[in-house]
Amino acid sequence: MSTLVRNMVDDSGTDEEIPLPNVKTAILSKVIDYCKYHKDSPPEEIQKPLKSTNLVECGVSEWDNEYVNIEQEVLFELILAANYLDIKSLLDLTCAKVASMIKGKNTEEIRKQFNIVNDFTPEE
Amino acid sequence: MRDVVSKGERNLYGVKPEGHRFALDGKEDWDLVLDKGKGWGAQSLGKLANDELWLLILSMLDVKSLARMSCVSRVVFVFCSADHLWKDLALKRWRENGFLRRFDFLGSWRQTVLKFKKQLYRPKAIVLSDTLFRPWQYGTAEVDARWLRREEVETLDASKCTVDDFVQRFEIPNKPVLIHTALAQALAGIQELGGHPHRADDMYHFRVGPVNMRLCDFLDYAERQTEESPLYLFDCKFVERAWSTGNDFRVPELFRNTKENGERDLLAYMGHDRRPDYRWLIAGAARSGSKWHIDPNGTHAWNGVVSGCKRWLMFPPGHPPPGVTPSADGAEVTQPVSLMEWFVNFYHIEAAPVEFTARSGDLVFVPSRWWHCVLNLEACVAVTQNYIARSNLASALRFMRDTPENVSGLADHRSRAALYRDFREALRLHHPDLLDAFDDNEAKLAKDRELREEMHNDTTFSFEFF
Repeated sequence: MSTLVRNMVDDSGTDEEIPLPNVKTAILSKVIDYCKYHKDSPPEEIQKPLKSTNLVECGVSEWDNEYVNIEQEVLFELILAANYLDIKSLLDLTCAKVASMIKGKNTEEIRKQFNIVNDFTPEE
Repeated sequence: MRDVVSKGERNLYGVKPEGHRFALDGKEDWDLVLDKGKGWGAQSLGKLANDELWLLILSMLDVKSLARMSCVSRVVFVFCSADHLWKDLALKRWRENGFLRRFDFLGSWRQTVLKFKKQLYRPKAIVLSDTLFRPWQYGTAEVDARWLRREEVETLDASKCTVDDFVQRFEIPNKPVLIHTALAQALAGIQELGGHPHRADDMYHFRVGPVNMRLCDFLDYAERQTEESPLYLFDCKFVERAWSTGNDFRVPELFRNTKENGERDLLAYMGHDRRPDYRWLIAGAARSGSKWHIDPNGTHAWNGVVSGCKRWLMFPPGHPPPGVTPSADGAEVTQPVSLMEWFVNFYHIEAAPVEFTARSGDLVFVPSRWWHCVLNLEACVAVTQNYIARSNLASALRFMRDTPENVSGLADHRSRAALYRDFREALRLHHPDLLDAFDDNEAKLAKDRELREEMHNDTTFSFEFF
């Protein structure tokens, strides 16, 4: 499921150690959970744009929805790991989770959610 | 990315390429540069530190959410103004509605979706991002005069050439040629379509991407847009749509099936409804065009320029141009996102064997399996048709027989796989002599192959004794 790992295996075979310096152990473990679960059942493509803040209504399975029900910190690490390991479905899922946290909120609420400083001048 | 930094132009939202940091001079400049991480939330989304990831998240938002998001901070505003985000939202909406009665493009997709004419806010800031800069760069890049200098093609005057001449000199040897004075009468009907841009009673709608729209609306849009890959009008049902009034669409004489020359378009014998898509009305903005490709199903093609001016480049069969990589089975082609990007980065690497400019009234003959790309130098309207004649019948039949998975232009998988059989049936009915000739030749070639293999085996066998 990881294009990065697949390419490394294609290049050097399965006996060589694969270095993954950019991924913490805890996060890698969570990624492996995802891959194990989806090994034989690839997830549905998530429809863009999201039609609801409830991911299940956007085509995401209950298991996947629960899987990304985690702290923001971990979610962002997961996005970076999915990007680095090149696992498209996990990347889509984690980014969709962030998008679902934006959808439905007004501008000030979005700022609060992600702790973003408003740097517009009053005129702007 | 030649000439990017020296151009120094800031696009609408202050985006510049990453390399521009080396051109920044002094505190005033640096003060203007926005910190992307901070703008996205230093403790949260800022940690992603990746333009593409931020854009991926934004791509999942609907219109309202994207508009609200853009008010969050100045950096996020700049990201939210990436026009492709708004284009995707507009196209999605169109897909759901299917038919576009009127299309009013207001200069950018963002303005069009949010329905405002004037850009009110321009941040006085600099955002360094290759990801955001690149589409703008290629959407506004100028055509380089160096790309237009060479003229390397044979030409032909249609009024001084018989069909037989043309077939002998160009079709059989599979050579491209630029044909003058071929279109005048044939496409008068189409010229009428494009010639009255603001007729209120204009009923004809043609296929553009996922939706149908009037040709005049499309040409207005083409005039105003500055996209890397603008929408393209590409309609294989244009004759049905527009000719119900009784105007005749006439194939130019050199390519028309007649009593004497019934072999000019053999696929016609399959009947209009069963043959693969074969004729298109094409329209596109200046700087848009067709990326590098080989025409489908081993067909020849002719392309008539109704209005505008097109730059053509061609490479012969088996010789893809630089920067273009076909997959092993030939089904996919890897090349830059836009044709302009190809020109900027690869044109100068290898001179194309065939290169020329085609103008209104010209007809281009594209022989089977030749690589070609076409860059519109101004807004263009053209008509193209693909066909199989005696000259490419054998190679086209082999293509259909040996690679049915690469057949295109038919709606379902089954008819694609069955094209070889269906075409043969049509030939059997109308031109059995051609089919017999093909079968005889194939049998002979197969026999030759067998003989060669036997000889090869004999030689190996005898060496074993030594």
